[in-house]
Amino acid sequence: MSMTLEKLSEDFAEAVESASSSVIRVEGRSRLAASGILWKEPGVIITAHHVLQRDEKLSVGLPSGETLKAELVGRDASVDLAVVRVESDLSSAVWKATDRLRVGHLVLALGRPGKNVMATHGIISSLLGEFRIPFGSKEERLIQTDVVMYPGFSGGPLVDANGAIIGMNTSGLQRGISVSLPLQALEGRVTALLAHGYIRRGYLGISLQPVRLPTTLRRQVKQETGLLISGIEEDSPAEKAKLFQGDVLISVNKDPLRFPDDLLHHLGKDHIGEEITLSTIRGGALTEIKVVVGERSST
Amino acid sequence: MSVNDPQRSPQDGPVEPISDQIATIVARVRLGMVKISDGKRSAGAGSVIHASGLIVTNSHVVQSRDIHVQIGSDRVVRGHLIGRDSSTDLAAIMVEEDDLEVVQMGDSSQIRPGEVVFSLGYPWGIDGGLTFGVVIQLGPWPIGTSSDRDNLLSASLHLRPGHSGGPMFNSRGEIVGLNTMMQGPDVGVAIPINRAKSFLKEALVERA
Repeated sequence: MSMTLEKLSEDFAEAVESASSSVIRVEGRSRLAASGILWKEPGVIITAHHVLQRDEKLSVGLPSGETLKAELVGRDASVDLAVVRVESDLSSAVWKATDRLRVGHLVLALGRPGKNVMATHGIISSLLGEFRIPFGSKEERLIQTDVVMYPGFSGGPLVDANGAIIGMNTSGLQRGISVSLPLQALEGRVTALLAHGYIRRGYLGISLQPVRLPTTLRRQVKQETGLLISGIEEDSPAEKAKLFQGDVLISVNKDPLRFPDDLLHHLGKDHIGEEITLSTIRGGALTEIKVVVGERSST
Repeated sequence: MSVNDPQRSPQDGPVEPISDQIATIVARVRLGMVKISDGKRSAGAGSVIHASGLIVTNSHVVQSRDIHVQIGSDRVVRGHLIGRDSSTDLAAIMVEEDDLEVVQMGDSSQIRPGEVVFSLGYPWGIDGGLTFGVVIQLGPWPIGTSSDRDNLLSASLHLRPGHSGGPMFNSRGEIVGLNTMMQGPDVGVAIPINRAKSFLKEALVERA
């Protein structure tokens, strides 16, 4: 049967209704409240980091109208995610991973900054490729939409035409652009926040900038650029390993370091505590320095 | 090909029939929409509610004593104000006509967030400018206000000056609200049609 306009409209309204029981009001800032989503585990609610302007005196409004106190579990500011917990056995069963999402799909965005659930619509504009986020990590799976994020919609769900929740919306991650973190990007982070209260990240404690290498070195190491250390944090793994400002990093574990991103791959949470070998130019000569990757509990 | 064509083949792609359907519904609603002006400038739009000339619009659209009502593309007749309430921004006018095309009546109490809605009017005087979106909510707007009077129909569509008083209608072409204002560039706010029904009842009773 071909689709009718009436059916489409009905399907949208149904989709909103089926997802709306997972959409929560989150009160954690002085102005308008924002939105959150029931997680798959009972009593866990996810929201946007930027809408929680305080760590305490948080509360949430349930679809039933009930208001509960909420406790902050943790934040991951790098993707604008926060997790709170309430004393309730409510959970959401409509989360869905989105392997088949394509540019052009119609989606709905829901919010509950007030008492009622609110909805708007849009299309998937782009499935962002490797996307650089602060604190030296990367998120490869972000959904960009043309959804207009009304005040208080951040932290609410992106919903597909069947009413499944496929991501969390935020206007705070990329200025002026509506992006959503899909379930695949949320899962590991929410689990980590529930387990540790923070996201584990490897770090060395250095600031880097790419520099062009002198001709002779370029031939010797067979690469055009290296990474100049422009700053070293106190008490950092880099300082302990006696790396110095002015050193130029050439490779890590024999993988070339041409751009700062090349190093990030070696600083994921799985590398914490691992000893890595940095090839460095110091005083015009190549030298090798071993550093143990430290752990940074960033929020 | 008509929308209700039973011969329509099931292989027809979904997109074209839907845009056909929209065009059909919009053309039908447009027949029951009128343009209201003070004789010089276009002020907004109205919807014909009864074939014998009853029209509902916004109170702020009929501020002038001179009410000129354009029916169809060229016929202009005089409108008579039979009731207005500036607090709800509603007004009823009559034109001495019979057998007018009407806008089909809807029920705003049945509205659900996510439903597709359309708005027609005369944005900047342009004939019959159409815009569409989904219902954001039926409730207090802006959020945080709380009286029943603040329960408005907000939709993700773009209302512009001149849409005022025109119909906001659903996927069946039934009027569910009266375009009234915009909240920022991206929210169109309408008075729920059920409130207009109660207003009309009162206005007609007072007149009788």
